[in-house]
Amino acid sequence: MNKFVTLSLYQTYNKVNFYTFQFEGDTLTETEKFFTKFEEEERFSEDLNNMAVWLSIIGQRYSAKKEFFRHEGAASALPPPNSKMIKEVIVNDLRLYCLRISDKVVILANGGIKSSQTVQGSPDLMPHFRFVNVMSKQVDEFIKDGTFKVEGKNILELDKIEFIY
Amino acid sequence: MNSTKSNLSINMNAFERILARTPETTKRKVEKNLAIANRIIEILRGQGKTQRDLARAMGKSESEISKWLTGLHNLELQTIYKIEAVLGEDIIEVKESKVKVLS
Repeated sequence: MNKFVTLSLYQTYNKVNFYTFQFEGDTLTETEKFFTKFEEEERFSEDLNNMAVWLSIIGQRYSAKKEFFRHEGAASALPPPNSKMIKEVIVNDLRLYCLRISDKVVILANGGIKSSQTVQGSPDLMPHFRFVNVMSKQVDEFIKDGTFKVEGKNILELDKIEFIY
Repeated sequence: MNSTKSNLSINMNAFERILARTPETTKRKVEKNLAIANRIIEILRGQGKTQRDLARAMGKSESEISKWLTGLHNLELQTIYKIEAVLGEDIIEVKESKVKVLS
């Protein structure tokens, strides 16, 4: 059954606003699920620390330059602009998916552990890749029809944006 | 002190708790790595060069260069010197010591 997905502000910094997705009825946002899932895992402690500090520094100091983000290879099969919007933050085996809208606006999603050469072969990752893929298409449609508007580092009229997954 | 600490963390989300627990050394490492990556990006943009140009000049794959530019990669000093030589610009500068030498 399809569920509604909304957007909310996750972290705000001088140069970047990081937004996140939230499923209707869920208490945690998708990005909060990601960080909560690995927060207490000793083997990912350093990787997670690196990732959080990295996000905070680009937010405070540098902006979300496209070069800072890795391109998800599996997204290459998609047509632009979706293929260009889908990015991943990689620290060793950890992947956090996101949609980079501009230098000032990034929507963080969820992620997991890449356990094989491909996303398709990584069961912890594949559902989250599929999710950002669907979301990127809807963001693109909403940009085209004017529902999704960005001004500076803000997504305007957040409450009017509702995705379906 | 401990209760203040735990009260603070109650209001934090997981991301903020992770940031708060991160050791100073890790923060400095990521800060420096990002500064280096940002400097390379700015030099490339300033020279009108692409990642592909840098990859060719360094004899590396584009994927390797894109990994370097994320600021999440620990570049070896030797590699940084090579990038400086290829781009013809300084990437890192070391502060000069202010200690006076007694004669």
